[in-house]
Amino acid sequence: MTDGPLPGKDRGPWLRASGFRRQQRARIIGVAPTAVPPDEGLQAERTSLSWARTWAVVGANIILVAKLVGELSWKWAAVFSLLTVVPLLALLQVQRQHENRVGRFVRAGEIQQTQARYNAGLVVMVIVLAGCGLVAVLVQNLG
Amino acid sequence: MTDSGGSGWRPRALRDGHEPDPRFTLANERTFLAWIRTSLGLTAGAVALEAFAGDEIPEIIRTPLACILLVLAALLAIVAFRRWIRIEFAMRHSQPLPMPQASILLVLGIAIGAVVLIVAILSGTFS
Repeated sequence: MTDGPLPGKDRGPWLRASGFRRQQRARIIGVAPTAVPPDEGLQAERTSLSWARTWAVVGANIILVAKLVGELSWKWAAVFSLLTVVPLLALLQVQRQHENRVGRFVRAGEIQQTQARYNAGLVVMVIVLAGCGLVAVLVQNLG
Repeated sequence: MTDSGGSGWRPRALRDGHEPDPRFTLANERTFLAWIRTSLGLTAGAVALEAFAGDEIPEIIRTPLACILLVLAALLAIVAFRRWIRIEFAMRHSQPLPMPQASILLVLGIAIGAVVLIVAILSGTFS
């Protein structure tokens, strides 16, 4: 069964409705299809992807360091593995922000400022990772 | 992450001056992220060295090298954050952009690490 109009009936309202649905689908990323990006370099999209790549690398690093920590004690490995939740949640946040970011940039008229706390949080995460790795290496070899 | 100006915590250096072109702000953000990924690459290298190269490289070289790489990774992350703030400050005050001093740290660290690694592998092969 299709939800289209019966033959011989007025197809106008159905066409209008399907056109509306199509338009709704096209707007799924939150940007009007006719909007012209102010910058053809798609800076906002590239930056969002850069964040996603970074969090993916953070996740891979956590798994690597967890392997090193896991050689010391399974309890520490379990505690450390909980850290994998952080990049996963961050990735979700990145994807949530992505739509807003692209929309704001394409519509323009708004100056986008970097949120310093995200950058600071990322730096802290990297330092924690390097610190845990350093401790694991030293304990393994000196202990 | 970016947001429309005004909201969220911001370092003192970035509270005055005029808002820079969003494209330049985003480019600065991507550069910061590239530095962070480089730092994470060093961490991954150190961990791989310690976890997977146990038989090939003697411990006396492997452990200090892994420690140096991990310290370098942490330093690089801090330097990247500092550089991001300095570039943002320069753009907000229409000043020339600062030189990438972290590159010297990175190049020296990687070059010394690579030479030590080559010596270690060769000594392991011919001993």
